Amino acid sequence: MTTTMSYEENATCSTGCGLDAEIARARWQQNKTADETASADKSSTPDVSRGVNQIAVANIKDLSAVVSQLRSLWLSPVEDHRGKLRPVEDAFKQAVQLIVDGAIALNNNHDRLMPHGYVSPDFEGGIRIEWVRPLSSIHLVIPADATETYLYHEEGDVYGTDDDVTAEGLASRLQIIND
Amino acid sequence: MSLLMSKGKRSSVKYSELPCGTIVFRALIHEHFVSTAVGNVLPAAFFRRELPQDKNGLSLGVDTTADDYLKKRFRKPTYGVGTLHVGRVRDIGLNVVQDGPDHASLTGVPRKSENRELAERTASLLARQARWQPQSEEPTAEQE
Repeated sequence: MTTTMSYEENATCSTGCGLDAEIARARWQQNKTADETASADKSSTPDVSRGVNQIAVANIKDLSAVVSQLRSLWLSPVEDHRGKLRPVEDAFKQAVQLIVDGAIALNNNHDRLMPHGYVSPDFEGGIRIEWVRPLSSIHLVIPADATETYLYHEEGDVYGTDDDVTAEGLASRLQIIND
Repeated sequence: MSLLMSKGKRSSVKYSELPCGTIVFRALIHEHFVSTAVGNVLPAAFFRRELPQDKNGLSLGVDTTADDYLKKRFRKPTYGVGTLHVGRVRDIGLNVVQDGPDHASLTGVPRKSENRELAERTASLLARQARWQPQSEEPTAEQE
Protein backbone atom coordinates (compact mmCIF):
# COMPACT_ATOMS: atom_id res chain seq x y z
CA MET A 1 0.00 0.00 0.00
CA THR A 2 1.21 3.49 -0.75
CA THR A 3 -1.48 5.39 1.05
CA THR A 4 1.02 7.67 2.74
CA MET A 5 2.68 8.66 -0.53
CA SER A 6 1.49 11.58 -2.55
CA TYR A 7 0.84 10.83 -6.18
CA GLU A 8 3.49 13.31 -7.21
CA GLU A 9 6.10 10.92 -5.77
CA ASN A 10 5.13 8.36 -8.40
CA ALA A 11 4.58 10.85 -11.18
CA THR A 12 7.81 10.43 -13.03
CA CYS A 13 7.56 10.24 -16.79
CA SER A 14 10.65 9.98 -18.90
CA THR A 15 8.80 10.81 -22.10
CA GLY A 16 6.94 13.77 -20.71
CA CYS A 17 3.65 12.46 -22.09
CA GLY A 18 1.87 12.65 -18.76
CA LEU A 19 0.84 9.00 -18.79
CA ASP A 20 2.76 8.05 -15.67
CA ALA A 21 1.50 11.11 -13.87
CA GLU A 22 -2.13 10.33 -14.72
CA ILE A 23 -1.77 6.69 -13.73
CA ALA A 24 0.12 7.53 -10.55
CA ARG A 25 -2.53 10.05 -9.57
CA ALA A 26 -5.31 7.54 -10.18
CA ARG A 27 -3.49 4.75 -8.33
CA TRP A 28 -2.80 7.01 -5.38
CA GLN A 29 -6.48 7.81 -5.17
CA GLN A 30 -7.31 4.12 -5.51
CA ASN A 31 -5.05 3.20 -2.61
CA LYS A 32 -6.40 6.06 -0.58
CA THR A 33 -9.92 4.70 -0.81
CA ALA A 34 -9.09 0.99 -0.64
CA ASP A 35 -10.11 0.64 2.99
CA GLU A 36 -13.48 2.24 2.25
CA THR A 37 -14.24 -0.13 -0.60
CA ALA A 38 -13.05 -3.22 1.27
CA SER A 39 -16.01 -3.03 3.60
CA ALA A 40 -18.60 -2.57 0.88
CA ASP A 41 -21.74 -4.70 1.03
CA LYS A 42 -21.07 -7.58 -1.37
CA SER A 43 -24.75 -8.29 -1.99
CA SER A 44 -25.55 -4.83 -3.33
CA THR A 45 -24.12 -2.95 -6.26
CA PRO A 46 -20.38 -3.06 -5.62
CA ASP A 47 -18.40 0.06 -5.00
CA VAL A 48 -15.79 1.26 -7.45
CA SER A 49 -12.67 2.87 -6.08
CA ARG A 50 -12.03 6.47 -7.03
CA GLY A 51 -8.82 5.42 -8.73
CA VAL A 52 -10.62 3.06 -11.10
CA ASN A 53 -13.18 5.74 -11.85
CA GLN A 54 -10.48 8.29 -12.53
CA ILE A 55 -8.56 6.07 -14.92
CA ALA A 56 -11.79 5.11 -16.65
CA VAL A 57 -12.60 8.73 -17.49
CA ALA A 58 -9.06 10.11 -17.84
CA ASN A 59 -9.03 9.50 -21.60
CA ILE A 60 -5.61 7.87 -21.47
CA LYS A 61 -5.42 6.14 -24.83
CA ASP A 62 -6.46 3.22 -24.71
CA LEU A 63 -6.00 2.40 -21.05
CA SER A 64 -9.10 4.30 -20.01
CA ALA A 65 -11.30 2.38 -22.46
CA VAL A 66 -10.18 -0.98 -21.05
CA VAL A 67 -10.53 0.14 -17.42
CA SER A 68 -13.94 1.62 -18.23
CA GLN A 69 -15.06 -1.77 -19.56
CA LEU A 70 -13.74 -3.47 -16.43
CA ARG A 71 -15.69 -1.00 -14.31
CA SER A 72 -18.86 -1.69 -16.31
CA LEU A 73 -18.42 -5.41 -15.80
CA TRP A 74 -17.88 -4.91 -12.06
CA LEU A 75 -21.12 -2.91 -11.91
CA SER A 76 -23.13 -5.36 -14.03
CA PRO A 77 -25.84 -7.66 -12.65
CA VAL A 78 -24.46 -10.63 -10.72
CA GLU A 79 -25.62 -13.13 -13.33
CA ASP A 80 -27.94 -13.79 -16.23
CA HIS A 81 -29.30 -16.92 -17.89
CA ARG A 82 -25.87 -17.76 -19.34
CA GLY A 83 -23.94 -17.54 -16.09
CA LYS A 84 -22.09 -15.14 -13.82
CA LEU A 85 -21.56 -11.68 -15.28
CA ARG A 86 -20.01 -9.83 -12.37
CA PRO A 87 -16.48 -11.03 -11.64
CA VAL A 88 -15.36 -12.02 -8.17
CA GLU A 89 -13.45 -9.29 -6.37
CA ASP A 90 -10.03 -10.98 -6.63
CA ALA A 91 -10.36 -11.32 -10.41
CA PHE A 92 -11.48 -7.72 -10.79
CA LYS A 93 -8.62 -6.38 -8.68
CA GLN A 94 -6.04 -8.48 -10.49
CA ALA A 95 -7.38 -7.37 -13.87
CA VAL A 96 -7.15 -3.68 -12.96
CA GLN A 97 -3.68 -4.18 -11.48
CA LEU A 98 -2.35 -6.03 -14.53
CA ILE A 99 -3.83 -3.54 -16.98
CA VAL A 100 -2.58 -0.44 -15.17
CA ASP A 101 0.86 -1.88 -14.42
CA GLY A 102 0.98 -3.33 -17.92
CA ALA A 103 0.32 0.13 -19.39
CA ILE A 104 3.15 1.57 -17.31
CA ALA A 105 5.50 -1.23 -18.41
CA LEU A 106 4.50 -0.74 -22.04
CA ASN A 107 5.26 2.95 -21.75
CA ASN A 108 8.50 2.63 -19.82
CA ASN A 109 9.99 -0.47 -21.47
CA HIS A 110 8.62 -0.37 -25.00
CA ASP A 111 7.56 3.26 -25.57
CA ARG A 112 4.07 2.04 -26.41
CA LEU A 113 0.58 2.83 -25.22
CA MET A 114 -1.98 0.24 -24.12
CA PRO A 115 -3.78 -0.97 -27.26
CA HIS A 116 -7.56 -1.16 -27.37
CA GLY A 117 -8.89 -4.41 -25.94
CA TYR A 118 -12.27 -5.96 -25.26
CA VAL A 119 -13.40 -7.02 -21.80
CA SER A 120 -15.90 -9.83 -21.30
CA PRO A 121 -17.04 -12.13 -18.49
CA ASP A 122 -16.14 -15.81 -18.61
CA PHE A 123 -19.57 -16.48 -17.05
CA GLU A 124 -17.87 -18.29 -14.14
CA GLY A 125 -16.87 -15.23 -12.12
CA GLY A 126 -13.74 -14.47 -14.12
CA ILE A 127 -12.68 -11.91 -16.70
CA ARG A 128 -11.37 -12.10 -20.24
CA ILE A 129 -9.58 -9.26 -22.00
CA GLU A 130 -9.02 -9.84 -25.71
CA TRP A 131 -6.81 -7.86 -28.06
CA VAL A 132 -7.70 -9.01 -31.55
CA ARG A 133 -6.00 -7.87 -34.74
CA PRO A 134 -5.99 -9.35 -38.26
CA LEU A 135 -2.78 -11.34 -37.77
CA SER A 136 -2.34 -11.51 -34.02
CA SER A 137 -4.27 -11.92 -30.79
CA ILE A 138 -3.66 -11.74 -27.08
CA HIS A 139 -6.17 -13.08 -24.56
CA LEU A 140 -5.65 -12.26 -20.89
CA VAL A 141 -7.73 -14.77 -18.94
CA ILE A 142 -8.33 -14.19 -15.23
CA PRO A 143 -10.56 -16.94 -13.81
CA ALA A 144 -12.50 -16.63 -10.57
CA ASP A 145 -9.53 -18.36 -8.99
CA ALA A 146 -7.09 -15.61 -9.95
CA THR A 147 -4.11 -17.87 -9.22
CA GLU A 148 -4.94 -19.66 -12.49
CA THR A 149 -4.52 -16.56 -14.65
CA TYR A 150 -2.94 -17.16 -18.03
CA LEU A 151 -2.08 -15.31 -21.21
CA TYR A 152 -2.84 -16.71 -24.66
CA HIS A 153 -0.77 -15.31 -27.49
CA GLU A 154 -1.14 -15.92 -31.20
CA GLU A 155 0.75 -14.61 -34.19
CA GLY A 156 -0.25 -16.27 -37.45
CA ASP A 157 -0.11 -20.02 -36.93
CA VAL A 158 2.13 -19.78 -33.86
CA TYR A 159 0.32 -19.76 -30.55
CA GLY A 160 0.76 -20.68 -26.91
CA THR A 161 -0.06 -19.76 -23.34
CA ASP A 162 1.94 -18.20 -20.51
CA ASP A 163 1.37 -18.96 -16.84
CA ASP A 164 2.49 -16.70 -13.99
CA VAL A 165 1.36 -13.57 -15.81
CA THR A 166 3.14 -10.37 -14.82
CA ALA A 167 2.64 -6.79 -15.98
CA GLU A 168 6.02 -6.91 -17.70
CA GLY A 169 5.12 -10.17 -19.42
CA LEU A 170 1.80 -8.76 -20.57
CA ALA A 171 3.51 -5.65 -21.90
CA SER A 172 6.05 -7.74 -23.77
CA ARG A 173 3.39 -9.87 -25.42
CA LEU A 174 1.25 -6.84 -26.29
CA GLN A 175 3.99 -5.58 -28.58
CA ILE A 176 2.57 -7.80 -31.34
CA ILE A 177 -0.73 -5.90 -31.18
CA ASN A 178 -0.66 -3.02 -33.62
CA ASP A 179 -3.19 -0.23 -33.86
CA MET B 1 -34.13 -28.30 -46.00
CA SER B 2 -32.00 -31.28 -45.21
CA LEU B 3 -34.66 -33.31 -43.38
CA LEU B 4 -34.62 -36.95 -44.52
CA MET B 5 -37.40 -38.43 -42.43
CA SER B 6 -39.53 -37.94 -39.38
CA LYS B 7 -41.19 -40.56 -37.15
CA GLY B 8 -43.03 -38.18 -34.90
CA LYS B 9 -40.54 -37.79 -32.05
CA ARG B 10 -38.01 -35.02 -32.50
CA SER B 11 -35.22 -37.28 -31.31
CA SER B 12 -35.88 -39.72 -34.15
CA VAL B 13 -35.61 -37.08 -36.83
CA LYS B 14 -32.53 -37.57 -38.96
CA TYR B 15 -30.90 -34.83 -40.92
CA SER B 16 -28.55 -35.24 -43.82
CA GLU B 17 -25.00 -33.95 -43.64
CA LEU B 18 -24.87 -30.24 -44.27
CA PRO B 19 -23.20 -29.28 -47.56
CA CYS B 20 -19.94 -27.38 -47.15
CA GLY B 21 -21.52 -24.34 -48.76
CA THR B 22 -24.10 -23.98 -45.98
CA ILE B 23 -24.09 -20.77 -43.96
CA VAL B 24 -24.85 -21.19 -40.25
CA PHE B 25 -24.90 -18.55 -37.54
CA ARG B 26 -24.00 -18.12 -33.91
CA ALA B 27 -26.29 -15.88 -31.86
CA LEU B 28 -24.43 -12.99 -30.22
CA ILE B 29 -26.49 -12.62 -27.09
CA HIS B 30 -24.03 -10.42 -25.22
CA GLU B 31 -22.47 -7.08 -25.99
CA HIS B 32 -19.18 -8.73 -25.04
CA PHE B 33 -19.34 -11.04 -28.06
CA VAL B 34 -18.86 -8.39 -30.74
CA SER B 35 -17.05 -5.16 -31.33
CA THR B 36 -19.86 -3.18 -32.87
CA ALA B 37 -17.54 -0.26 -33.59
CA VAL B 38 -15.18 -2.35 -35.69
CA GLY B 39 -17.67 -5.04 -36.73
CA ASN B 40 -15.62 -7.94 -35.42
CA VAL B 41 -17.04 -11.02 -33.75
CA LEU B 42 -14.87 -11.71 -30.70
CA PRO B 43 -13.40 -15.03 -29.52
CA ALA B 44 -15.49 -14.75 -26.33
CA ALA B 45 -18.51 -15.85 -28.40
CA PHE B 46 -17.02 -19.27 -29.09
CA PHE B 47 -16.23 -20.85 -25.74
CA ARG B 48 -17.95 -24.09 -24.82
CA ARG B 49 -19.36 -24.11 -21.32
CA GLU B 50 -18.84 -26.90 -18.83
CA LEU B 51 -21.27 -29.83 -18.62
CA PRO B 52 -24.19 -30.13 -18.45
CA GLN B 53 -24.26 -27.04 -20.68
CA ASP B 54 -23.28 -27.15 -24.34
CA LYS B 55 -23.45 -30.94 -24.16
CA ASN B 56 -23.54 -31.43 -27.94
CA GLY B 57 -21.37 -28.44 -28.83
CA LEU B 58 -22.03 -24.78 -29.52
CA SER B 59 -25.54 -23.84 -30.62
CA LEU B 60 -25.97 -22.56 -34.15
CA GLY B 61 -28.89 -21.53 -36.33
CA VAL B 62 -29.44 -23.14 -39.72
CA ASP B 63 -32.10 -23.41 -42.42
CA THR B 64 -33.76 -20.15 -41.46
CA THR B 65 -32.96 -16.48 -41.51
CA ALA B 66 -30.92 -15.02 -38.71
CA ASP B 67 -33.71 -12.64 -37.76
CA ASP B 68 -36.31 -15.42 -37.60
CA TYR B 69 -33.94 -17.56 -35.52
CA LEU B 70 -33.26 -14.75 -33.06
CA LYS B 71 -36.94 -13.76 -32.84
CA LYS B 72 -37.96 -17.34 -32.11
CA ARG B 73 -35.30 -18.14 -29.53
CA PHE B 74 -34.48 -14.94 -27.68
CA ARG B 75 -36.87 -12.72 -25.81
CA LYS B 76 -34.44 -9.86 -25.40
CA PRO B 77 -32.68 -7.98 -28.19
CA THR B 78 -29.40 -9.55 -29.22
CA TYR B 79 -26.30 -8.19 -30.88
CA GLY B 80 -27.03 -10.12 -34.06
CA VAL B 81 -25.22 -13.18 -35.29
CA GLY B 82 -21.82 -14.27 -36.45
CA THR B 83 -22.20 -16.16 -39.72
CA LEU B 84 -19.98 -19.14 -40.45
CA HIS B 85 -19.32 -21.13 -43.61
CA VAL B 86 -19.59 -24.86 -42.86
CA GLY B 87 -16.79 -25.78 -45.25
CA ARG B 88 -14.36 -23.41 -43.57
CA VAL B 89 -15.37 -24.71 -40.14
CA ARG B 90 -14.51 -28.21 -41.36
CA ASP B 91 -11.18 -26.92 -42.63
CA ILE B 92 -10.09 -26.32 -39.03
CA GLY B 93 -11.09 -29.81 -37.88
CA LEU B 94 -14.54 -29.05 -36.49
CA ASN B 95 -17.97 -30.00 -37.81
CA VAL B 96 -21.51 -28.69 -37.93
CA VAL B 97 -24.30 -31.21 -37.39
CA GLN B 98 -27.94 -30.29 -37.87
CA ASP B 99 -30.08 -31.56 -34.98
CA GLY B 100 -33.28 -29.58 -35.32
CA PRO B 101 -35.37 -27.87 -37.98
CA ASP B 102 -33.52 -24.60 -37.42
CA HIS B 103 -30.72 -25.70 -35.11
CA ALA B 104 -27.28 -27.21 -35.50
CA SER B 105 -24.39 -27.99 -33.15
CA LEU B 106 -20.80 -26.98 -33.73
CA THR B 107 -18.97 -30.13 -32.66
CA GLY B 108 -15.36 -30.78 -31.79
CA VAL B 109 -14.91 -27.57 -29.80
CA PRO B 110 -12.79 -28.34 -26.72
CA ARG B 111 -13.71 -26.96 -23.33
CA LYS B 112 -11.11 -24.91 -21.44
CA SER B 113 -11.04 -27.59 -18.76
CA GLU B 114 -10.03 -30.14 -21.40
CA ASN B 115 -7.37 -28.12 -23.23
CA ARG B 116 -7.32 -24.40 -22.54
CA GLU B 117 -4.72 -23.61 -25.22
CA LEU B 118 -6.68 -25.40 -27.91
CA ALA B 119 -9.93 -23.88 -26.63
CA GLU B 120 -8.42 -20.39 -27.01
CA ARG B 121 -7.03 -21.21 -30.46
CA THR B 122 -10.35 -22.65 -31.62
CA ALA B 123 -12.28 -19.62 -30.37
CA SER B 124 -9.81 -17.32 -32.09
CA LEU B 125 -10.06 -19.15 -35.42
CA LEU B 126 -13.86 -19.23 -35.30
CA ALA B 127 -14.01 -15.52 -34.46
CA ARG B 128 -11.73 -14.74 -37.41
CA GLN B 129 -14.01 -16.71 -39.72
CA ALA B 130 -17.25 -15.23 -38.42
CA ARG B 131 -18.86 -12.27 -40.12
CA TRP B 132 -21.01 -10.00 -38.02
CA GLN B 133 -24.62 -9.47 -39.04
CA PRO B 134 -26.60 -7.14 -36.75
CA GLN B 135 -30.15 -8.02 -35.75
CA SER B 136 -32.50 -6.01 -37.93
CA GLU B 137 -35.80 -6.67 -36.19
CA GLU B 138 -37.02 -6.46 -32.63
CA PRO B 139 -37.43 -9.87 -31.00
CA THR B 140 -40.96 -10.97 -30.12
CA ALA B 141 -40.47 -14.58 -29.08
CA GLU B 142 -41.77 -16.05 -25.84
CA GLN B 143 -38.91 -18.42 -25.28
CA GLU B 144 -35.22 -18.17 -24.98
